[in-house]
Amino acid sequence: MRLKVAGHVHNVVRKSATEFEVDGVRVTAGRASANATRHTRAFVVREGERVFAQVGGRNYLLTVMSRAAAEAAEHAPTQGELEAPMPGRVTRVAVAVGDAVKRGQELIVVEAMKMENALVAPEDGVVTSLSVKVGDMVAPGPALVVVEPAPEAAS
Amino acid sequence: MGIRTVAVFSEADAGALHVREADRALLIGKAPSSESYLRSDRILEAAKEAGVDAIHPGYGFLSQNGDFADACAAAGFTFIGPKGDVHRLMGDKKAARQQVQKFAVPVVPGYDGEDQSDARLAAEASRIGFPVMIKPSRGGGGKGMHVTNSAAEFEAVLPRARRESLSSFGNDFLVLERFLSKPRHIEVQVLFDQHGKGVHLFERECSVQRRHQKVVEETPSVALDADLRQRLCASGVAAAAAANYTNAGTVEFLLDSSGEFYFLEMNTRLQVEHPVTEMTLGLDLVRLQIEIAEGKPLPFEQWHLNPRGHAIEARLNAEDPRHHDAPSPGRILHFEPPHGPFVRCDSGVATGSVVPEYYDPMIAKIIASGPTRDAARTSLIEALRDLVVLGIATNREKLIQILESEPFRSGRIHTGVLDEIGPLPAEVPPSAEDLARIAEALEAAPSPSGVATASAETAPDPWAAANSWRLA
Repeated sequence: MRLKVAGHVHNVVRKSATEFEVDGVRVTAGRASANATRHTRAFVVREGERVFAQVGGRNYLLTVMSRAAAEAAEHAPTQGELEAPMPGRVTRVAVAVGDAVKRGQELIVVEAMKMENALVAPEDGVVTSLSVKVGDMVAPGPALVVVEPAPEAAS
Repeated sequence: MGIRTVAVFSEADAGALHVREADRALLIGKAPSSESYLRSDRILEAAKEAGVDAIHPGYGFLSQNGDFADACAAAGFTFIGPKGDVHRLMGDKKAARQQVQKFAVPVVPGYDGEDQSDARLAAEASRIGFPVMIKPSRGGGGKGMHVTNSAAEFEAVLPRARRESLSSFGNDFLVLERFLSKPRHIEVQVLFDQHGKGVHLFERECSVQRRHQKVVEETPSVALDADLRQRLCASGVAAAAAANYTNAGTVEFLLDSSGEFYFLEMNTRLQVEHPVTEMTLGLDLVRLQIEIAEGKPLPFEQWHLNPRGHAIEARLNAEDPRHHDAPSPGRILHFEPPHGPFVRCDSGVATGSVVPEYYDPMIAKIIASGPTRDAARTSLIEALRDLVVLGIATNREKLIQILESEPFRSGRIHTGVLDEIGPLPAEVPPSAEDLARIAEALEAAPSPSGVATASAETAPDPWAAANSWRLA
């Protein structure tokens, strides 16, 4: 399977009852591994494509990717696709599709537990897609707003 | 105690753990607390409908509200806590300071008088003793505050402090206060029955704070020797007596690095961190609160109380320490509390719980005890590693970082220690072995697609291997 975590896609293939190949390197899996301890148990919950894992005392958020999605992810820039940092309510939408925006400019504000979190433009560009309005409930995952980089000449 | 319980809940908490565990639960309003948990009228209606005898206000919302305490009494219910006027006196910070001073409880030396002449302020600064902090009377949030270390520096800074106060707050009235360097937050738990008898249940140290919110609490404090402990606890009892206190309360002090302590405020309710006291004294504070409210005398004398060992509590919050502690409400897909002979987990959530976006982010308290501070500390670290929370971000790894840090290990803590400890290091990507473990667990998960409601685990140790179905 292909697991995406921290921006990298890893190829994980079972090779035997005890062995996996991770990005071409053979490793012994959890329970058979010599240095396994109580704290190297892996706890996972899968919700659709998202995988929440706790292993070795650390938490990870991973995505299970199809082959096509994995290949696309390696090529397509996703930096301008902004998602909600946490579940919450959209309290402000400061831009519209077609607006030119500057790096750092506030685009959308999501409020949760009385804290405001602003989504800001990662670079100078143009808003090419906007999928929310004030009052919408949002969660991490889908892109709420997309900023395409400005052409070279404009910067 | 054989007492049936009735819980109240808002629409956001319909599936909450406290609702499931109570004998009966009544809906009191919409999710925002201003439309439910802060509505004393709705709470009293629910109390009448359920026919309760007494109301325990918990430790948030209306628990320190004197008018609510009075309203309960007027409606014929026993309020488990002090009377309304006690809440109001201690809720007024200035009045509380003046009242406890009359009973020889030390307060931070300061001056907030009307005479604002240069000569008077300089004289007051010398009387207070340097270092002296100059604060705008109207100020807040650290703005316009100056620390001066000598009379000469005070004179030099005073005109600038006046100008800044005037420009920032439209008023150049200044307040002087002794500046406390690296203070510790140490509080005294007190218990007073309705017959005038009061005791202290020793101290708790809560110096590890983030924006005035406690994060890790412990008892005893390593900063106190027997003499200082005796004086501090006696001051706690004196402060409570000054307010004609009844029931459980906490008197908070700041301890300066010079060993001087000063009254900060009194919390007229049960504290979040009360379990560390329970664990070292073997007492149930909520039971004692109820017995006091019933009019029973305290069941022990001060000299019967002998704390044993050490206990530390860590507050688990639904927040992301790698993203400015942003709250992380949402559904908990898997929750596994830690186990162990000296570990206690007071949790408000379970697998499947939804953490609402509306309230405080604290979801559980993990407490560990042991014969020594280091035994309690290492047990708590183990417990936090065993604790599993999947589906939302928590500060679990941050708590481990704090407990493993040099300042905490050595006990050299103060209210600004989290700045010293620094942010949680950047996320380490999973190793190849970890990825293999995750893949293996995913293969074994009962529901490999859609929403899986159970977690799978690989079991490297022989004890867990006894659960053979996990290995099939």
